[in-house]
Amino acid sequence: MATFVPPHYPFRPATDDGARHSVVVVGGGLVGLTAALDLAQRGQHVVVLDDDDTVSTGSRAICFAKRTLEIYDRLGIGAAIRDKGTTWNTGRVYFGEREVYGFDLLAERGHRNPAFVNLQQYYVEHWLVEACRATGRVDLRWKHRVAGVANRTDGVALTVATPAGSYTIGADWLLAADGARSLVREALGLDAVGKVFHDRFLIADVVMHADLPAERRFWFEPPFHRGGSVLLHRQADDVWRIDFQLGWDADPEAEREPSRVEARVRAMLGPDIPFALEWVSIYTFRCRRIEKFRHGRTIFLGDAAHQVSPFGARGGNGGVQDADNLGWKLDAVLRGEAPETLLDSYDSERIPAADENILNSTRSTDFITPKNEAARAYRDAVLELAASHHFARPLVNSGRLSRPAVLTGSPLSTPDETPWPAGAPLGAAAPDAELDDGYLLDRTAANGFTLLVFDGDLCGAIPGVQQVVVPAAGMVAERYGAGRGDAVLLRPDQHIAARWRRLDPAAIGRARDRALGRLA
Amino acid sequence: MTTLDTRPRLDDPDLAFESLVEAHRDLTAEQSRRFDARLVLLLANHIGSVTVLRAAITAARATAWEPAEAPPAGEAAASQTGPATMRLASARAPRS
Repeated sequence: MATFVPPHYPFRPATDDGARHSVVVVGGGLVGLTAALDLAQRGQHVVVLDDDDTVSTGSRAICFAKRTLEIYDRLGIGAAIRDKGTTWNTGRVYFGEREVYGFDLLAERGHRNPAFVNLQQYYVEHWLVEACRATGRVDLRWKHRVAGVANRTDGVALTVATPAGSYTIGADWLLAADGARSLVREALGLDAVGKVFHDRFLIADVVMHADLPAERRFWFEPPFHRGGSVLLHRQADDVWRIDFQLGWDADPEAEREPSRVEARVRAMLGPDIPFALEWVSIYTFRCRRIEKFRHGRTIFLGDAAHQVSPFGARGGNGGVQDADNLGWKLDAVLRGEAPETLLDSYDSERIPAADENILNSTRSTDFITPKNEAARAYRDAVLELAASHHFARPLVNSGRLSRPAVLTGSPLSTPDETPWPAGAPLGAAAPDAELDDGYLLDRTAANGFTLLVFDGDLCGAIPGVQQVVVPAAGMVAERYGAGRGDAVLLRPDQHIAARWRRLDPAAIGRARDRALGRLA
Repeated sequence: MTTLDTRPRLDDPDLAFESLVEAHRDLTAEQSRRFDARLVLLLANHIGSVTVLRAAITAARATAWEPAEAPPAGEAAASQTGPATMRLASARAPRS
């Protein structure tokens, strides 16, 4: 029962054997396509190599976090995701027969995007492909599989295998977004270090017309699945994601049997709800990363660089933030506006972000899969207490949901010259806010820096910096901790680079240079 | 408060001990373990400081008297255990 007919993109034989390109992306998945689109919209030409000829199939990312939606608004596909997807803000946790508590993620009004939109990854990939094509700058090569990689100091030589034979191309820069089993990572002999969780999960995408609200529901040891946990998410097209914890001893082959899966789903839904299986897979989770993401002219993004368990929705969202972080930097280097060393900041910013995602998803997985009897006793004790005591609810860990990385201590940030006690911290992704005529993030520069000027006079022109006057009172001022005459400099990826209690064009120019890695 | 206070502080130590032991009456080993976990969580929240909690965890680990050999199984063997076969894990463990 298919709710989505995957597009098949045409294979075209290469006609540029021996050619050299400025940017080659390996992997036309969520992260690779996002990186390609970001660079293309900044004016770069990009070649994308993918070993398949379609979008991802089956149970992949579904929870697109607010920050990811903001990035996709910048890239022009945010509205499509919101329109097609399922917005949810409520989560519920159950233990045994009882509901323990519910929580609301929508803490604040005045953001264009909700906390989460659930949508099957293949829709997003399909729209990314269309948007890449629309730029006229992305050369999408389907059924082009990377077979060899030689990473050199001044570029990367690639051998590419296709149904019509092999060819070679060169790349000034190679972006490896080829997933958890990255061939590029293997070719460079890089080990991803971390841990494998000794547990197995059955992930079923089920089509059903259920009269259930769009909520994230998590059961610990429910009566319909004794001894394990179950997670339920609503997606588009009446497709529901159900995730059953099976334990390490489960037999993956037997558990994949449709009759067995149907029995599990039937036990959960009861006798009256008709359903059909759309996709079933068995997973074991890992939390690990490679030591460095940049290796000279080869840069790793997404699952090729780091992997997490799915609890917290930090895989896809983390990967999209990688692309967001890298795109403007590589563009600035290619334009000659920034030195190559700017790209080292991709490591210094995204490795701590990956570690935060790994830490959070490891803790969630350890809560969901207790490692010993003592851990289980504490886990169950937390759940028992949480039903009647508010203090225990923050201890319940069924997934710490993805939040944007704050680039604390980034070498690209200019330290505050005066105390800045309120509002978003330096290095944070710019908070959105509602203005009289739209949303703040829509006002940021398409390609360049943005200076938010709080009810002040604009400075004279500062190259590469678009100035936007915003109110010095109300929502925007509050979210930035700013008052009249203050100024906040946003990077091209909308992170806060610097801020001042005065407007000094020279200081703003220096902060822009620092964010571009021009200052040693 | 960010340091662990290990001075004698309980106004009625005998009642405190009796209450803890009494609370486990009729509980299976598994129920006892979960009860202790709930109790620890309630008290940890009352303390309200992860620093103090971690200091208490360190102190509790440091003061374990470990059997010199693997713990015997069954009641018959239990009578053989006692101070003679135990050693103090840390000579400078806090006495609390």
